[in-house]
Parts: sequence; C-alpha cells; structure tokens
Amino acid sequence: MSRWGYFARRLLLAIPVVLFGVTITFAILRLGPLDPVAAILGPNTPPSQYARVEEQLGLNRPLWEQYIEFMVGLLTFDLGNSYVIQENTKAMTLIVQHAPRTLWLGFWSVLIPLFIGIPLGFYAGLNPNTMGDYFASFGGIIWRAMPNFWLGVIFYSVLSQSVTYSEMLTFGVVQFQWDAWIVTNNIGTPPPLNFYNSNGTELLTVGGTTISLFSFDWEVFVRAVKMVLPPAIVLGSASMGNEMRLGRTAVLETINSKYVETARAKGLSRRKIVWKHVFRNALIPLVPIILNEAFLLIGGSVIMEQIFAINGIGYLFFQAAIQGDMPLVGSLMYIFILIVVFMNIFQDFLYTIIDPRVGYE
Amino acid sequence: MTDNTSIDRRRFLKATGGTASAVAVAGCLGGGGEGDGTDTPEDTETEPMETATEQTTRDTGDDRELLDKTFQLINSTMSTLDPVAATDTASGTVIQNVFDALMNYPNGEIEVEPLLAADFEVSDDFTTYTFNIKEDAQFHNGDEVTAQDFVYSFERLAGSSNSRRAYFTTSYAMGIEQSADSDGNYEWGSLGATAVDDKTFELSLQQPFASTLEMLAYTSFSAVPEGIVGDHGNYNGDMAYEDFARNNPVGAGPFVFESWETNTSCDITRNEDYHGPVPHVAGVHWQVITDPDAAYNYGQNQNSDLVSMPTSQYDPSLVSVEQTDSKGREIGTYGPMRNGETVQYLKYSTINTFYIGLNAKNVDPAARKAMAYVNNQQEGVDEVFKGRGTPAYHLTPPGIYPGQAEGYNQHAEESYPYGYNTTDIESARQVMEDAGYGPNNKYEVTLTTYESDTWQGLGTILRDKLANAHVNLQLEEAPFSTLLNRGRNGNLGAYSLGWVMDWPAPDNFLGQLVPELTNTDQEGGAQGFYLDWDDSDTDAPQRASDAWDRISNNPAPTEEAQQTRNEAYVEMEEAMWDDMILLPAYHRADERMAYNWVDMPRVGAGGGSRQKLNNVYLNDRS
Repeated sequence: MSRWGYFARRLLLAIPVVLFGVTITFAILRLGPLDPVAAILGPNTPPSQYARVEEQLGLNRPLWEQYIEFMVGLLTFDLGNSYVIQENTKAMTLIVQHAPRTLWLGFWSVLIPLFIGIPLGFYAGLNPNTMGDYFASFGGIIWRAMPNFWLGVIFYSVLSQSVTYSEMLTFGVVQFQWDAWIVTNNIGTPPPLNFYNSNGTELLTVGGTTISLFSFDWEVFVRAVKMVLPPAIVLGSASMGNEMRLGRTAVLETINSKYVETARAKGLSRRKIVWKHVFRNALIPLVPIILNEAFLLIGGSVIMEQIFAINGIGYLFFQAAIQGDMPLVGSLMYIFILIVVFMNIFQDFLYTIIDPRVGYE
Repeated sequence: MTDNTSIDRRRFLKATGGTASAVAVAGCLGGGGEGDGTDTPEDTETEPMETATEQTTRDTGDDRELLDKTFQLINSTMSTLDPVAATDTASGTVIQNVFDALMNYPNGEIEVEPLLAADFEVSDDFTTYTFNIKEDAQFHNGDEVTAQDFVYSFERLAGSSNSRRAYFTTSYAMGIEQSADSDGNYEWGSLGATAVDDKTFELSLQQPFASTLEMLAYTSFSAVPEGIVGDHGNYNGDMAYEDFARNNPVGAGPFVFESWETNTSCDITRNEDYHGPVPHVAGVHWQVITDPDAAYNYGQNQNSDLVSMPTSQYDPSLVSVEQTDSKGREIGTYGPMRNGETVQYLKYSTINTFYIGLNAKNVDPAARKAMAYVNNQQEGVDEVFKGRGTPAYHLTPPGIYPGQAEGYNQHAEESYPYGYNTTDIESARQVMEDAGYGPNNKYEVTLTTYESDTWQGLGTILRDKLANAHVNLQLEEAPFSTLLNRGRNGNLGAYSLGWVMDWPAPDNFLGQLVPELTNTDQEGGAQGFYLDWDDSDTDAPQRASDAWDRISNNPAPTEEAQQTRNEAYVEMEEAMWDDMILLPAYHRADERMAYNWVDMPRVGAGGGSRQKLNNVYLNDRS
C-alpha cells in the first residue's frame, strides 16, 4: 500500500471516531443532570422563569431535533451563542478569545521539557553511572514525582514572597524581587500577548535607506515570557522528567547495539557516532511521548490556569462543563477530538520519516 | 471579592439588588402611614462620611478632589452588563457602578434613598408611586434621563426575551399592573409604568407591596436610554443587543464603561458629568480571578487595594476590633499578614441564610429531627468557618427578623426545640429508636452539598455525630447546576443551599417555604425550596399555609398590617421547626480588608456588590 493510500484510509477511519466522540459529549450533557437553565438563573428564581429560558434556548424541543441541530452546527463550526458563560456571545468567539494564552502556556510547557529534558537524558545516557548521570536521573524522578497542583501552589507562593525567601536563604545579603526583576509584572493573571502587532509596521532608517519592520515590543514580550514561565515549568515538569528518563534509556539501548560497535570499529569519530547514529535512533521512542504532550497545548492546563489565574481554554472548558453550557462544551470537545485524532495520524506519519523500516502493511 | 471558598461559587448568590432591614421597612412605613408623604433626599453633600477607620471631613461636594489613580479590585467571572439580564454578583458589581436606578442603597446600607428620583409620593392605598426625576441627570451618551427612559427600562425588564428578572414585576414581588397575551407573553405597552410628563414617572401596582422602594433600588430596575436596544417590541434599537450587553453599556451611573475582556479584566472610568458626587478615583479596574489562593496572592503582592482572604488563610487571632458601630459593624485591624502589612478591617452582617434542606418525601421525619438534635450551630460556625458568620436558627436572618437581632436571639434561645447551641446525641438516638431504628438497622440518608470545602466540613461533623444515633449519613458533592436540577425534580434527600435576599423582608425568605410551592411533583418542579413539605403527615404544613395566607392578605406597608405579618412570620418559623423540614446552619458575615491608603465608606448589610464606588478615596500607596 502506498503512503498516500494509507493516510486516506486513516482519514476515513477517523470520521466515525469523531462522530462517536461528539455524540457521547451530547449524550452526557443532555441526558445527565447538568442543567444550563439552573446555572443561568440560580436558586433565587421561580420556575416560571425557568420555562421561559428553556424555551429561548430550545431545550424543550425533542432530543433528536436538538441532536441533529448540534451535529449540523459542529460540521459548520457554528454552534451559536454560549448558554451560560456569556450569553449573546458566539461559542467560537469565546474560544478564539481564550485560546492565545493557553497556546502560549502550552507552547512553553512543551518547549521547556523538550530543550531541557531530552538533552539531559542524552547526557545521562552517554555518561552512564557517573555523578552527572545520578544527579540528572535523580532530578528527573523528583520532577516526575511532584504533582502539578501542589507544585503550582508552591511556585506561586514562593515567587510572591521572593524578597522574604531570598533574604532568608542568603542571611540578608541578597534581596531578590521576582516581580520587579528585568520587567515588572504580576505573578498570576494572563500574560500580555500584544507584543506583536501584525498591522503596525515601524520605519527604521539605516544609512539613508528606510526599512519597514513589523513592530515588536520587546518589553512586553519579555514580560509575557516571564509571566508564563512558572506555570509552564510546572506544567512541563512531569514530562521533563519523563523525557529525561526515556532519553537516557533510549541512548543506552542504541549505544550498546551492534551497529554502533561496527561504526566504532571502522574508526568513526565519537561525535559522528553520537549525532548521526545514536541520536536519530534514540529519538524514535520519544516521538509518541512528545506528541502526546502536545495535547497540553489546549486542554491539559486546567489546574495551572486556575492556580495562576490565567483563565484560558482549560478554565473555560471546566466552567462550561459543570454548568452544562452545551454550545461551548460541544465546540471545545469537537476541537479537542479533532486535534487528538489528527495528532495520532501525524505521529504515524512522523514515524515513517524518522524510521524508514516502519511500513504500512 | 472571592474571599471565601464557601461563597465564591459562580452564580451562587445572585442577588444583585438590595438588602434592607426591618429598620428600612419601618422607615418607609412611617412615611406611608401618614398617607401621601413626600420624601426628599437627605442632603448628603455636606455631611462628613464615615470611613472604615475614622470619620473624615473630606469634601463630598462639587469641588471634590479628583485623583488620577485607579481603584484596583478583584472580581469573579462576569456574564453580561445588561441590568435586566444579569443574575450573578460579579456582573451586578460592575452594573451597580455604571447604571443608576430611581432608588439606591447608599454604600450598600439597607435604608434606601432616592437616587435618580428627586422625590416621590405614595397614594393613600399604596398602589401608586409617583417619582419626580432629577433635573440634571444624564446618560453617558449625553441624553437627559426622562420618565420615558424609565418606562422603556421597566418594560424591558417585564417583557424582553433577555430579561432574567421579569418576575420582579409580577405578583411574585412588586405586582406592577400588566397584561399578557394568550401565550402568556408580556403585552408591550401594558405595564403600569407611565410617563406623566418628561420628568414625572408613575408606577401602578395591582396591590400594595411593602418593599416597593427597596425593590426599585435593585440594579434590574436601572435606567437605560429609551430605545437603545431592539428587544422591546416597539423599538428597533439604536445598537445591536450584543453590543449593548458586551461592549457599550450606556447608563447614568457614576462611572462610564471602558472595556471588558472576558475572564480577564474589566475597566470603568470616572463620569465627570455625574448627577451625584463625582468619583474621586479616575476609574476602577477589576482583575478576574476565581481561584481563592490566586486572589490571596494577588492581594498579598499589593496588586489590589482590597485584600482577599480565603478562609484557609484566615487567622481569627489576627483580628483586633477597636470599635463596634451603631449598626453592629466591627471596625479594627487585621494583621500582620504574610507580607507584613496590617490592614483596615471591617466586619458586617449581610442578609442571607445558609441551610440544610430536608425533603419530606425522601428523609424520614425521625432522621430530620435527629440531624437537628446533633447539630450545634455555634460549633459549626467556629470550627468550619473560623467564626466568619453567625449561627442560624431561623430562615429569616436577624437583620430583618421581627424585632431585629434581639427578637431573633430571644426567640431562638427560648423556643428552639433541638437544643440551642448544644449537641444532643441522646435525644437524637431516642427519636430514632422511637421510630424503630437501632444499631443493626441504621437509617441511610445522603447529604448533597454544592462544591464547597466548608459544607463538606460541616457534613463531616454531622456524619460523625449521627453515626452514634443510628443514622448513616453519606456525603456527596455536586456542581451547582446539577444540584438545583435534581432538587427541583425531587431527587434530593438532604442538601445544602443558601438564600440571599431579593428584597429586605421576611416574605422574600418565608415565601419559598409555602408548603404548596415546595411540591416537586408539579409541572416544572418545585416553585419554592425543594422540600415536598406538603407530603408531611403532621399539621405543620397546614399551619404554615394558613400563616402565609394571612401574610398575603395583609400586604400594605402599615403598622397594623406589619404587626399581623410579623406574627405570621414567627408562626411559619415554628411550623418549620416542628417538622424540621429545613435546618438553618449559618448567616454569612462579610469582611472587608483594605490597605491603609484606602479611604472608603463602610459597607451596609446590602454587601459590597451594592456599594457605588464614587466615594472611594486613595491616599499614596506605599
């Protein structure tokens, strides 16, 4: 089977998976006890008002009608207005508003383990049973073991009291104030993401020629990075530990294999062996791990968003789910399902590139 | 402020309107008793204001000092800025500052004062209210506030598809004259709200309603410019509804709306042309933070001017009360806090009751009583809430109980049948054994609470005690919307909920307890609390029904009718005790902690969300 035929089949098979996922979502929301009307009105409201709102939202119509409308809405990415979170605002608009900060957080929480965890793991694998290896391995286990919800609270609290703690640890010599360091910022709350202005350009004159540059505000950028780092480190901590451990094992496994021995025998430099032969093969088991973590980009950050008051997609999803906000939950679930399905397909695709031995049979 | 894990659940306490005590009721009664008494606003312009720390003589008149500082606060998630659509406290807090109504709770105080009304008259039969509207009041778009604007605003409340408080205009509360078409929809133009001329507004009620003036201070009754949105049958609307509710709310309040980024922040700025005292502060910024610990850290980092203090971080020993004012508010200091600062402290009672509902159909009468016997209200407040509340014995809160706090305490101490502030396991066991239960035949019941550590804490105490009285109490937590849905349909046994007043009178609380209304089998579910009290075999529900009839038949704001109502209120409370259909747990007390540079008036029993922030003054932050 050709590569393209294989992917066409995968795509077709994904359709029933997506349909099944959104149907389950609909069933849980509409057949369970979650009541958007109660969430809108609260306990201080008489039932005459309940009936009115139910009619407005169309919740008194037959379930199959609602189901068909729901499915059609999903296909066109338009489920209408949010019921509870913000009436009169389209669910998609809300998602678009909340998405950037979650993506920003997810981006850094994938990047940090990628660029710390994997190199550390490879280092440990290349220098097994040295002090450096023990140090890195032990660190990996510790990071892996600390639960996010705990670590997040500790981070926030320690950074809030950075002056007190820095004085305490250095016996009053150093006074470090995290929120005033480099740029001033709040410790919690959403990071500012307006550092890049896609419309505005800046004119810069260099030696008589005028160049136009996209305007980019470095200070805001640094602030945005600085604000997102603590939650991103916490969120990435577990995967950092994971990737470190797996990277070490993978390197150890490859480095002891026969072909590496052969390479060494024919006199290749250590550098060439490591980069050309070991590195690439050791990456194979890491691919699914990294791709699974990409899911953090959208949905995995509920707790961190809550603790650091970032209020992004994760927070939105949780609030919408417990309040039965059908259009919002439906849209978010649909997007999550699509991402997971496509991520899986993409993962298979990557395998074939990294490791040509993987076939389609 | 999300300063208490037990209450910051979104949409829990929706009341955005008012609070008042029997004092306020009596106050308006005095006027009413004399026939068409005309009330003029007190001259507050030159009166020195009371602040949380001391009396200041800061000028509140025309040449007020205008600062360029912004008041920094925390809010929880807001859903809309349309006064008739908002049901949550977070939205109400902002709406309160952008919109003005005819009446107002000054600084959240329970005694209402005219706001956009210059003065008003009440007819002899208490069914017609005539308001003269202030001459110099104008909306943020520059239009003058007229009687026609009020007609439009009130009609939107009654008939708009966006209105979530239409029942305030019906016989449930005020009973403003109106008619409906054959489908039960409001008929546009039929509301008993008319513009006699540009500045004279008349309101006609079907029958007297004692809390009319208090009700009119609720944000739902705020003025919006005539014809601004098209959800009124006779108007096309100057702007799209989404625009008005989301991006451009136009009111006549002390602050002009600036921006609102969902789940992030909201900003309002000073209205230089405000008809009342122009705000000192240049604006107000609310950061949306819902996590109590995040809010705590935000306050500790001095990012907000008021300090958020979740119960988990709260240390009662750091409070030092220096004085208690005439309204029972405790004023003093709190600290040193984690960041070393000591802040101004204010504790005040708000009008609410938190209770355990005990459905008559699903919970055995013996178990209901056993639960009341073992429960020690004082212990619950002290151990779980660290003293941030007062023990509750009645459904009616002390501030509006006949005879106020004194009458409340006296009646509770003398008559509460299940042990006043005591744990009586012996009696609980006895009542269960009389009903045929024993060590090998335990009664099973589930207590469903909304998601709250504090309620789970109370539940654990109850469970451990009830284990000695042959009752096996299971604890269960449910999201708020689920809890309400199950309750309405009669699928709850014991459950926790609270009621915060819509208007400051016992009928707002006890009206939810009328046995016929608590029947969950009727179309649409229970109309009141989810108790199925009508299924009880005793004569208590009948007594409560009779008492409620007497209340309904004596609606007028006169001394005599008030007396009859007060007696009936107490009868309903006693009937509730006899059947133990509802176990009152506590009345929440609110606290305000402000950094020393904040100079703002004390909050009244209406709560912080009802305080307009135009009298806030900020000294140098340091």
